[in-house]
Amino acid sequence: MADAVSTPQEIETELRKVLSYLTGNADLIHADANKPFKELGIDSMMAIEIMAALEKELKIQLQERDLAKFTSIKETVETLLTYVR
Amino acid sequence: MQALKLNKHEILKHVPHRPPFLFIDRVVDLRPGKSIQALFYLDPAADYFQGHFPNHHVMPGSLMLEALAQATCVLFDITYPSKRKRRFYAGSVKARFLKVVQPGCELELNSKVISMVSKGGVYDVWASINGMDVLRGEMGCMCVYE
Repeated sequence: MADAVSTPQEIETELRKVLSYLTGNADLIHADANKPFKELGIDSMMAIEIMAALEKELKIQLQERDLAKFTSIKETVETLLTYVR
Repeated sequence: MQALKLNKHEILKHVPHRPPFLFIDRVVDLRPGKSIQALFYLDPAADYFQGHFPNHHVMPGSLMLEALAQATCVLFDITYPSKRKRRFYAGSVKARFLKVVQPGCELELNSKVISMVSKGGVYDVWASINGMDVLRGEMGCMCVYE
């Protein structure tokens, strides 16, 4: 589990690890943060899995409305920041 | 909240599956938004045992996963009831099969919410016989509204 993740950089690193693990695509560690998830091969089913993994890794409780904001790495990090600050 | 119990007739209101592809007989403990425990008797006369395998009947692991997905479907449908038509899909499954399961016993099906929203969820799932785990895994399921 991540230790006291709170900065945007730390959150982005954790998010990229989660995305790489769930998709089996190691390239996501270096993917463009602005690229839409759809173009990275991440679909709506994965969004729910990403949500579950992030809740576990970051020890947070996300809301259903947050799913709609999981559109890119950048947007997801911004959403997550509101929970860890 | 008190745990819910469902008989087969009630189960049919919450899953689109029908015999011979229904793998739940009754729900013995359902806590909306949290967990479900269901039971399924492994009838030695079931067709799949005749071919899997002719001289050594074993419950197919893929059908145990299907049974767990159906139990999870009941949990989801009761947690998020909807009058709209929707289809259920398993998106991901990680599982380890721990024991060979033979017919003539009752399979206990368990699913516990890791995270769940109205579009689907991720669940800890496990199957056991007389309290001994025979399968453990994690399952991601979603529903699509028509």
